[in-house]
Formats: sequence, C-alpha cells, structure tokens
Amino acid sequence: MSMPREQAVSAALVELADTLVVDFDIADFLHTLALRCVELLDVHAAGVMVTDQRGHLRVMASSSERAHLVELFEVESAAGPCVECFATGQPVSDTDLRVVDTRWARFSHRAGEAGFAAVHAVPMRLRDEVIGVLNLFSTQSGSLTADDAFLGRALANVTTIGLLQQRAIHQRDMVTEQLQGALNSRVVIEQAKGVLFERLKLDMHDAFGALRSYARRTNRRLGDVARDVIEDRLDTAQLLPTD
Amino acid sequence: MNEPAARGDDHRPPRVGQLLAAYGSDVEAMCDACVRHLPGISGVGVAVMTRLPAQAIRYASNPVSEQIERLQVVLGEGPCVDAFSSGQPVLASDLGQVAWGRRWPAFAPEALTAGARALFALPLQIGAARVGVMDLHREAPGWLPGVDLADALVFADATTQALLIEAHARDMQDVPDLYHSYHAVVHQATGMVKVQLNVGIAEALVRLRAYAYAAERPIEDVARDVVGRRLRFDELSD
Repeated sequence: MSMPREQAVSAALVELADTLVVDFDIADFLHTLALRCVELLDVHAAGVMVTDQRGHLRVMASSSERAHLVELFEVESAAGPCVECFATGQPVSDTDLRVVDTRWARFSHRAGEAGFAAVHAVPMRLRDEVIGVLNLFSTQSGSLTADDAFLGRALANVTTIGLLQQRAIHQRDMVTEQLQGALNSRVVIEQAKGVLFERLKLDMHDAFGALRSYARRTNRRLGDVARDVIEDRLDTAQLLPTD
Repeated sequence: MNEPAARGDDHRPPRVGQLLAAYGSDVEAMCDACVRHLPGISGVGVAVMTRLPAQAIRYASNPVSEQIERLQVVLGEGPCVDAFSSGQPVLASDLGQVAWGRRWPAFAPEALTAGARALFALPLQIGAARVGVMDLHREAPGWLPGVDLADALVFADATTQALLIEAHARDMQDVPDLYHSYHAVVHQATGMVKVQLNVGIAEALVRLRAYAYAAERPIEDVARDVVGRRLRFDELSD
C-alpha cells in the first residue's frame, strides 16, 4: 500500500503493459487503469470512455461504480471536455468548472454538484486514431502538475498499446472487434449489477466489486461471470464477500 | 473514428430511432435498406439464434447471402458463429487470406466459391440479450471504411430492436428513439426487472420498454424509478 511513488508508478506501467495473457479481460484492464490513475495522480475520480464506432463515446470503466459518478461520465460523453478531446486527439482541460463553459454547461453543473472543480481529458491514441479518452476529475480547480500530466499521458499510452494484443490480422479491425466486444461486456456487467442489486441488495458499487472479485478469484473474465449471473448459471450467493 | 466520410458531405449517418420509425419490426425491409445504404456491400443476411449451434436463417437479401447463411448452419463454423459466441464483430476483409482459411477450413473456401470475398459479421445483442448475427458480404476484398462500419453498426442496432419486438412484443410498432437507450441505468433496471418477473433478460428489456411506451415516458426515467425502488414490475396491476 505504502509503496514509494516511483516504485508504484513502475508497477502500474508494468501491470498495464502485461496484456499478453490468456483470457485477457478488457473490462477489468480498463477498470485497473482508472484505479491506478486515482492512486498515482492527484485526482479524485477517473473514467475511461471508448468509441462505440458509431460516432459516440461510451463509458467503459470508472474508478468507482457509484451510480452518480457513472452517470456523470455519461453526461460528459454527451457534451463535455472528453468529446472535444476525442474529436481533436489533444488533451482538453476545464480547470475551473465553477465558471460555466457554454460548450458543456450541463456537464459543468452536474460535475460541480458532485463536488468536482476541474476535469482533464487525455486522448487514448493508436497512432493517428483516437480510440477513447481517459478522464480525470479533481476536487480542486487548476491544471494538473507537469509530472501528473506526463504520467497521465503515459498511463493512457501504455494502456492503448496494451489493447493491441494480436498482430496477425489487420490491426484496426482487431481493435474494432475487441472494443465492440468490450462495450457489450460493459452492458452485460450493468445488467448483472441490476440482478445483484435486486437479489442480494448490494448497491451498484458493491455489486461491481462482487463481480470483479469473483472473476479474479476464479480466474475468469468479468463479462463471462456477469453473463452467468444473468443466465442463472451461477448461484449469486457465491458472489457475496466471504469474510 | 477520424476518417473522412466516403460519401461526401451530404452523408447523414442513420439513427436507430429513424430506422425503427421507417421500418418498425420489418426485418426484411430493414436489411434491404441497409444494402441500399451501403454501396460497398453486396448483400446482407440475418441469422436468429439464442444459443449455439441452433440457428435459423431469418433473412437473406440475395442468393449469395442465402448460401453464406446456409453454409454456416451446415458446417457449424464461420464469422457468424464466431461473432455470436464471442459477442464481438468479426471483420474478415479477405477470405482468400491464409489466416481466415486456417480459422474456417471448411467454410472459407466454400464462401469464396459462393462469391463472397469479404465478410463482416455483427452480433445483434444488448448485453446478455443476444438475438442473432447480421452478416454483410462483398464480392471484392477490402476492409469496411470507418463510416460504413459506423452505419452498419447502427443498422445492426436497429435490427436487434426489430427482432426483440418481433419476438416479444408484436404490437409495438413505430418505436421512437427514446425507447432505445445506451444508458447504464437502463441496463441495471433491466437486470432488476429480470429478477422481479423471473424472465429472461431479453424479455425483461422488452417489458421495461413496453411500460415506458405505454406510460409515454422516456425509458431512462422509468429505469431510474426501478433502480430508485419506486417502481416494481412484480407489483404492476394489469
């Protein structure tokens, strides 16, 4: 827990580059990216949006699955800094959300209500193609420090490269296939969160945590576990924390 | 992605709501419109399946498409089968390439003989609700440009909705856009309704939508009521 920062940074970079594993799980991988951003950077929430290939961004992972945060990322992906970042391929920051930017007024209000003062959108690029955006929320206004901005970009880059696991087939098609599959996994996970919320009375954040820790415990993909929950192939009581 | 529109500035991407308003649950008309809309595509086939290996050919826009669908039923392999089992699109830009021949040793040569050189299989699904696969083929090799892929995915989304309506709610024609949603809260509510009614996830989705339709409310609002525990589907009196 109390690893020196330099060591924690290297550990995160190695972890995010290590995708050449059997049963690589994009949903879990991008969730890890969001968690590491909050741990390593001076930010308080992180979200990962990826292109749905239909011209929109969709929320793929969030450092916390609390409903209001996931919704805030949805509001932002309709109109917010991440949209501009996605369109231009350049980092976009709103360093003071209290001064309402007319380009994304609704998002500014909602982010302010949630206690955030600044947002930083970092592009996830694969050469000349932007496949998504890493979003960093801070409760303090102002820019990221130069160190944090650099590390944020590094984490986004390592993650993006990590998504390119197989090189045999046309790379663009490969990434398209994987991202589409991952976005659908995200929907499966949301449906399973609903099942667990209803059946086990877990809140949405804990429901996600239960799915993720069960998937890790049993060495399975998050989306596959979620699907088993929905199709009644898994006794949901087994997902309850054991300790 | 960041690619110029291949069909000039007047190209307007289709929207799911518009397609549903125009074609309702008429899958045939939807597929024919898809072929007309995508000049690079020679034909479209739709296979309906709930689990492998059972699949039924729902529609084929021409004899080549028909043959592509038939081959996959008979041989039990091909892009459609893979797209369904993985939940991912399968984009085979040149079936003549060794990699695809290795992946589908029986299917690839037969598909080439039938006249298909490139095949793009798009799963028809909303999360765990999987209804089938749409296969688009082309007589010449080559990948699908980003703008064509984007439009094909929108047609696939609309076809998914059409098939869900066809299977579970035939009376729900002319479904406007507000019943089609990408919001997390709708998916969460679907999972809850599934438990409350003890039905499959696809039916839960249709029930949620039917309720919103009847109440003339956006589906997100209804979903928020479900997740906020202000509305239960097992306590509805109808």
